[in-house]
Amino acid sequence: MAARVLVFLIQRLLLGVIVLLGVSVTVFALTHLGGDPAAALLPLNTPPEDVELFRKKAGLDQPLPVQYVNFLSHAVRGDFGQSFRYRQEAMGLILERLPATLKLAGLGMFFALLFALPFGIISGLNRGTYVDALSRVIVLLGQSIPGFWLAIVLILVFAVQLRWLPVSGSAGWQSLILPAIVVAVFPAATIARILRSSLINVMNRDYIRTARAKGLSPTPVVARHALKNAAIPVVTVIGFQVGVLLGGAVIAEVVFAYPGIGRLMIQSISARDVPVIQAFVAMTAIIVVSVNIFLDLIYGWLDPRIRF
Amino acid sequence: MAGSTRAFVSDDSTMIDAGNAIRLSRVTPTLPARKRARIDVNRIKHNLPVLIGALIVVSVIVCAILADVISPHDPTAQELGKRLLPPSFMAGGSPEYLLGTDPLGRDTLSRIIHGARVSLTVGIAVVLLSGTIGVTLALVSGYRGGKVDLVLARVADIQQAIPFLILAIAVVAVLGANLVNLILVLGITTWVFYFRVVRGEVLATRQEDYVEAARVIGCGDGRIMLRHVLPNVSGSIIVIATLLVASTIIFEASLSFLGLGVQPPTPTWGGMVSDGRDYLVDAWWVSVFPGLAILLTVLGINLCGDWLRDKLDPKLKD
Amino acid sequence: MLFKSSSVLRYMCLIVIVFALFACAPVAQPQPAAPAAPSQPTAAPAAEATTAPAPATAAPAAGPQGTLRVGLVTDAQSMDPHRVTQTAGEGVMKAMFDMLIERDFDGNLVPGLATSWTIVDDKTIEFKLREGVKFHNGEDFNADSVKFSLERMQKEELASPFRNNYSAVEEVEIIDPYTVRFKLSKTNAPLLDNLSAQLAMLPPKYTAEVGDAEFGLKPVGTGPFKFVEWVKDDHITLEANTEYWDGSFKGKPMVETVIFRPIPEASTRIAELTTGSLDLIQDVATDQAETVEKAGFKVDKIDVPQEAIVFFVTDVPDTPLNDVRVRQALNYGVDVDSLIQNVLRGYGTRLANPIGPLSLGYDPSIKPYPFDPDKAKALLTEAGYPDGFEVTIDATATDKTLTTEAVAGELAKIGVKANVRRVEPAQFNENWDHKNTSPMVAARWSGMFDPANFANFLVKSDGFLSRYNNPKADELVAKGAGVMDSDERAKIYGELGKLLYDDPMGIYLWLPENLYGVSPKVQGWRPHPRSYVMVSNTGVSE
Repeated sequence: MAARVLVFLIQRLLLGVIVLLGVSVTVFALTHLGGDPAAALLPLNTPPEDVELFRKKAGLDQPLPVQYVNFLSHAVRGDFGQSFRYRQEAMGLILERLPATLKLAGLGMFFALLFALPFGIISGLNRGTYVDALSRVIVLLGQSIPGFWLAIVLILVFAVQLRWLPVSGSAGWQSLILPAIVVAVFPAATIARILRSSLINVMNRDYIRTARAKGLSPTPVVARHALKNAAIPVVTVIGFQVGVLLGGAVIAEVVFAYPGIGRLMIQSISARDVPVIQAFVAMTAIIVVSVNIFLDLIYGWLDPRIRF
Repeated sequence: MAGSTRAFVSDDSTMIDAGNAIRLSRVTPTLPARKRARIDVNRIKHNLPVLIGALIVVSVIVCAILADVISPHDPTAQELGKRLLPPSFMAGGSPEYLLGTDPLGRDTLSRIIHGARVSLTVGIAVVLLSGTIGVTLALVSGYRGGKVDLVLARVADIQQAIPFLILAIAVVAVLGANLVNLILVLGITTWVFYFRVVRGEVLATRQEDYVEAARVIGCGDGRIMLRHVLPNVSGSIIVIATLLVASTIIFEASLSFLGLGVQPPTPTWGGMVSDGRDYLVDAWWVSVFPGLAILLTVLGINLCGDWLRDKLDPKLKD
Repeated sequence: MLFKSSSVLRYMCLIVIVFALFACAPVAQPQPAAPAAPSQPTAAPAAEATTAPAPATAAPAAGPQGTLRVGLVTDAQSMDPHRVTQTAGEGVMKAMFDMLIERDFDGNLVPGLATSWTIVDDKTIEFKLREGVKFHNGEDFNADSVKFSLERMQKEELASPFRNNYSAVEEVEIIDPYTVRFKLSKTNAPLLDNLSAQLAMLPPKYTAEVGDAEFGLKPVGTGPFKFVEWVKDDHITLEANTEYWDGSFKGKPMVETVIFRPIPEASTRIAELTTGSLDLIQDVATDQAETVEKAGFKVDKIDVPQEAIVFFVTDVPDTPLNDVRVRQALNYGVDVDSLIQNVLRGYGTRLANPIGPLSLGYDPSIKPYPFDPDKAKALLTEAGYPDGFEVTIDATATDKTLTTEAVAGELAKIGVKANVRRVEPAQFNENWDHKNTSPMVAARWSGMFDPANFANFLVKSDGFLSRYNNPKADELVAKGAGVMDSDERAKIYGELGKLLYDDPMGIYLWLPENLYGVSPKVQGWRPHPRSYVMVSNTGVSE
């Protein structure tokens, strides 16, 4: 079994590498989107002769495939070049702020599950009732509120009016709560919806019906069979929500003045600090891919049909 | 299908419940339809959500089409002397401005009515674009299988590994923010939602007898895909589409917040919510009403989407 | 807008040329009313510092007390003053570092670490240095520090964004430990102003020891506050330098600790102020000033020499803006006073032409274009556009585009349909540089104390940012650049102003006021015309 898991893991890791290679093409392409990559990679007031020099030095006068290989050979070592704004290694800047964002995203995912599980389960088990209708409306609300707007309203209510929590910043765990809620809302709603519909499906399956027919009371049935089976699509969708969560973190970090990579990204966009933007996109892809490898392992455990 | 085609990010993963529901139902394809006698009251109760949803969606579409006729004011006409008037039902409000005015003295209601145009245009255009790309690739991938499928599935993995909001922000920042770029970027980054679900569907449908039969009698691949496979996956396509319209509207709002949205003076709901955020304390109506417009529309679209899913997917009927 | 961003171009415009100071030789050595207590500047505070925690020994009220918390718009890019280019970070630098010459709260050049400076000849400036000043690490400030700091600024490896500002300095000659001479390759009028803006004095030994990169993380200066901690994008903490030298225009540190927090979102900054988590915030939007005041906080304002103008691209033939009548019509067609009243909530001063009230050569007799939509329409008709035309205005994406939208809304009333295009700041500047903008560009141009740069860059037809073409204006600009006498220059720029009024290069809007939200607990704080937040001489009561 252990060996099988290992083989499975290696297989997934290889696939992950292939995916990241593909991502690297996209990241590489970002510099070429605006037309002249030299212009994108140099500060604005660079004199033309320096631009030429840079073009030569950076190999931008070479054919695209050569340039790509060049880029890749640096990128795999985490070298995305220097940030114009900070004059530091772009990836270094990302790594400095990464823990803050991971904390925010982690708590966000926790909140998302905390909200999604009860709503999804109650809704799924009581399909068609008023409870279901109500919970579905709440879930829809969650999917239709823009994050930045919710953020400002939360600040006004919980920080300005009630004074329960700090307005912004990153001092202490209290300051994480509001941004984590903002980050959590959209994924929570999505997960709750999936959980609901997959529960409805599972509850309709033969073996659950059989179990019920045999006289088992509903609660153990739900606990033992239905939930485990219904969790399969939920796990899948969590993999997807990691990306959504990181996107939401960009917004939350700006509103809550939270020192994470999302805010760095937005600053870099106004300054057109392309190396940092590239490093950021690459890092988010790495996170998404790693989380998905991990989830694949859980997936295999949940779904007996998947053999390691 | 589980073992053979599962990719690194599981092939059958999807952001939406419909896809999963369908996928699961395929695992037990012979799910017996529950038959239950319903009296009429129940039937109305059952259909109430979709009636509400349809009402909302139709009103929004009417607003979008007839914006010039029905809006009480020109949405871009500013009257600085009448800035930040409260809604007419509040103290200090003017009956002329039902939902109040914005910081430049423009009528909020008229701007919301006109905003429906851009929001719906963006939503629908994105959905059509990404739907076309996603469904086409999914049909080819699922139906052809083999190397084509393998490559396309990897491309989908790659697309999915970069959070689409983040990619879109990066691309819009490089290319510049305008309506066309916004639609292109969102359309191109979201195709993968269709691809995942529809490809799984196609894989399953391919095995069905009638498709086999069509092949046997000599139908071409294109014909089979269009005439036999596509109708069978239309249920999930529509559900994804409805959800994507909703997400796109929200997404446009987020981009506006980051200064990357559609250009003024074109009113968009997202832009209005974003610009009004500075006035939440003293003039809440500037951002709350457009926010409600987003909310109601998303709600309406979702309600219709749920109903459509039930109608179009025979396997899900109960 | 344009040069509020991080662009280096901005500094070309912040340049405030001070020919006046070159003209009259030994300059300025005001002895600011010294605080009554210590007659020997360094001794008393030193004693205070050694007996640190027990305030009972010295006069208890005299020492710095409490914490001042400041909300900034963005984080500093570095703690290296030779690299920081945004006003938010510059305020932090001013707290930790001193320059040879400083610009005070009224916009005058005053002594800093140089007690006086003398224009020896066209190409030589001599500085007398302040004695007895120590860096935070104990190093002495002297001529070596000046030579080192200037040469560091010029160093290619440092790649300071200000490097070009100092290219005219050929050599720093040390006459004695407290006298230095700058030898210039050519007359360089903006140098004194640049010295006051960026050339922070650094300790040679420490800087060489730790290297440039490390210095950018652990700075040491002579300023009223010492560096404690920098958590990027979160906070910067400084502590009082109790041994700060006497006589600085900045005044003494009055608080023990200063915490700067970068908070990009305006409503968040205000919420932090009104909940009492911050004492002072930068950049309150004019529209939110009322909210801040209603919550019981003060709004401090200062006129800044920054001109809001919607520039025209006039050099493309056969376009509406190519016609002077259209350019005038657009000025008649915008009710600027109403915009100032309603959109800026009164926080702005109307401009009649680019030579505004804070500029050299300002002519108060030139009255702004009156709001006259009929005249505007008549002029448009005369020019062949009876139904107006459609045009795009570029604005930066990060700035509130509301004002630009408001201008567009006004133009709509005379039949000109203006669309506002938001562009990322970096792109915005590049577009301008490459003459790649839309036909109209909304921007704020800084550094208008002296219009020389504005005239050179934007008015002269071959200026590198110019889209304006008027041979007469070219003549005046050339004339202005060739004269040293400030009265004569004022006359020339006055003439230029009249010409730019008759043949507008843009829609002239206003000089904005910068607003700060200030807690009632804060005492003694003053806004600075360069938009820095200066934190010395500022106390916080409990």
